[in-house]
Amino acid sequence: MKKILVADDQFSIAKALSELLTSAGYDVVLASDGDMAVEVALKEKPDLIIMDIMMPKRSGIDAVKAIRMSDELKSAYVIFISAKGQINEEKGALEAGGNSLIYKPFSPKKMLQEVSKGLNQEE
Amino acid sequence: MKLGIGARVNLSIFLCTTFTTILLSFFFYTNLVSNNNLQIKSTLEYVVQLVPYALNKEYMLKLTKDSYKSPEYYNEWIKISRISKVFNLNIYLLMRDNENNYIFIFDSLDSPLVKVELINNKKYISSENWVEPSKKISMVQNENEADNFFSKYKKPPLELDKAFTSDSLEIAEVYTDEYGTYKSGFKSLVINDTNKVIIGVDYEISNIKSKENFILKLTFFIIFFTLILNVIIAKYLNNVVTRPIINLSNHSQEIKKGNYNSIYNLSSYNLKNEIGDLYESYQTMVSTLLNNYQKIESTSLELENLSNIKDQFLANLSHELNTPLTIILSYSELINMDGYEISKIKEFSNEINNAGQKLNSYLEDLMMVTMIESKLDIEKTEVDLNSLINDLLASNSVIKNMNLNLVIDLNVSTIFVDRGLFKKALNSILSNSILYNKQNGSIIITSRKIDGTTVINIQDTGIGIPEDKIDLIFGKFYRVDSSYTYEVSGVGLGLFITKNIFELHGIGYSVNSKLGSGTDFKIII
Repeated sequence: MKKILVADDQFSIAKALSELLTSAGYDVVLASDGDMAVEVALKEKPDLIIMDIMMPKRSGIDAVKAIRMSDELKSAYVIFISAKGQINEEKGALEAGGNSLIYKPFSPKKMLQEVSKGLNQEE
Repeated sequence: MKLGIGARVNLSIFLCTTFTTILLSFFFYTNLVSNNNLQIKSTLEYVVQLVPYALNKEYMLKLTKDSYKSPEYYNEWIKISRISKVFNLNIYLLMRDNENNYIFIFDSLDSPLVKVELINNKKYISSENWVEPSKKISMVQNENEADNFFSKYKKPPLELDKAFTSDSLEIAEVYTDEYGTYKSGFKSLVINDTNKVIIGVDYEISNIKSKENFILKLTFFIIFFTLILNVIIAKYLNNVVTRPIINLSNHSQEIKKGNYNSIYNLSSYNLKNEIGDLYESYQTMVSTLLNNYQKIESTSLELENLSNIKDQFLANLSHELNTPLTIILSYSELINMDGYEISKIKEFSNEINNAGQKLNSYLEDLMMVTMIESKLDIEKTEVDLNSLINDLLASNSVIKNMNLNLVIDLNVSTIFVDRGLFKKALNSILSNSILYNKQNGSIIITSRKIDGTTVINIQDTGIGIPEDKIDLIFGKFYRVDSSYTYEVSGVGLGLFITKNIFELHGIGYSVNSKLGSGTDFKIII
């Protein structure tokens, strides 16, 4: 079973993603801030990470940079989620090691497609 | 070289005056010379005709070279001498003997004054004793010397010879002899077989020369005087016009460069003329300009700030609206998917509802701002502070989550405010105290009466506000923290609304805060 880390400070959004991915048959772990995301990622070694950019304590971008330091997580597929309109965010996100960027509000179906695409690519 | 206005004015004045002077001098000079030629000619004509009338004709007919020895000679000489003095001319009678010697019989200047003795009322003139008539001629002692004297005239002009044969006035060119420079006229007086006598009249040219010299001196004097006058005018113009204008020009150049602070001491000239007026209006203009510039500068700074705040607000707003919107869209789609139990679906619809509520509260805030800006009416009633605070705290779930310690100590509980608005204002302050607090932090709410006013303090142990940003937190859409990692959501309208509500009530407020250790919000009713 593929393991997915969902990091979002908005509990409702994290929960929605969790429900969506669980019912699609994935194993989901949650994190509510940047620090926690790094901690959980290193511990759980997820196959795919969905990371909100704007988060307390440590931004999603910084968290991914930290996660990418680990050899085991170097190739994990990272999907950033963000609200539109943040200048240079896309560039920053991809530079930090993100594989794709999805803007909020996103459609759950599209998210599922992106997730399966990411997991296939990894294989 | 670039000449200043003063130099140009001076130079043109100088050139004009010099030119005019030289022109006038030239005119006077030529006029003088031509006038003199005419004048000399007519004077000579006149005198030559006058003399024979004055003289004794009979005596004249008998004139010999020895006539000076006769007693009548003196009478005739006196007449000639007087005419000579009147016209300022030398007049003389000349005769020519058979050997073509010229013999002066009379000379107004040089004629010998004979010794005159009055005997029995009759004049006897002694021909033996000659008396010096002028300094030019030494005393003539005897006949030989007298003859010698009269025959001195060795090189007569041609006109003189002509006069002995013609009847008209002969005028000689200017000539110089040992006595001076003269223009002379000659006319026959007596021409017969025995006697040939002519009248000679000399006009001394040195008179003209001295006039010419005078004109030349006058010309130089005028030029010199103009030069001096020019220097004085230049100095005056420089002080009164040029220097002030140059200063004005320099100063305006500085202003052009944007150097508004370069204040020349323009008033030091203290000119009571048009330039002074110019200075005054210039100074007024500069200070007005400076004022306007400063106004524009501060306004543009303000606008820039406002624009920044607006941009930040829009970014915040889009993010804050995005979150509930994402929740609504996600959960509504989840509900549509198959396989969820009814209890899950209820949970999802609850999420949708909460997100909707949040959107609604943002909308309310935005509405409130518009209302406040159009000055909404307030209705003051007696409000119980205790119940108001309890209402607010009861509806807040974050307090429990963060495990905050609440201390409420109200000495005064009844206040006179618009309940709805005051609640909203207080809510913003409390929300900030809660949201920006630390885990296990505390909030202390007190109220007491000081000098007839009610003072409410809301202290927290939150992250605090940087000192330089305290004034800004009441601005529209302002949020202290706008970095990527922020702990608290909100659009930044809360304290702006609070401030406006307080101002509508006439309620005073102040904020004390230390970054990292908490904020003390004071409300004075």
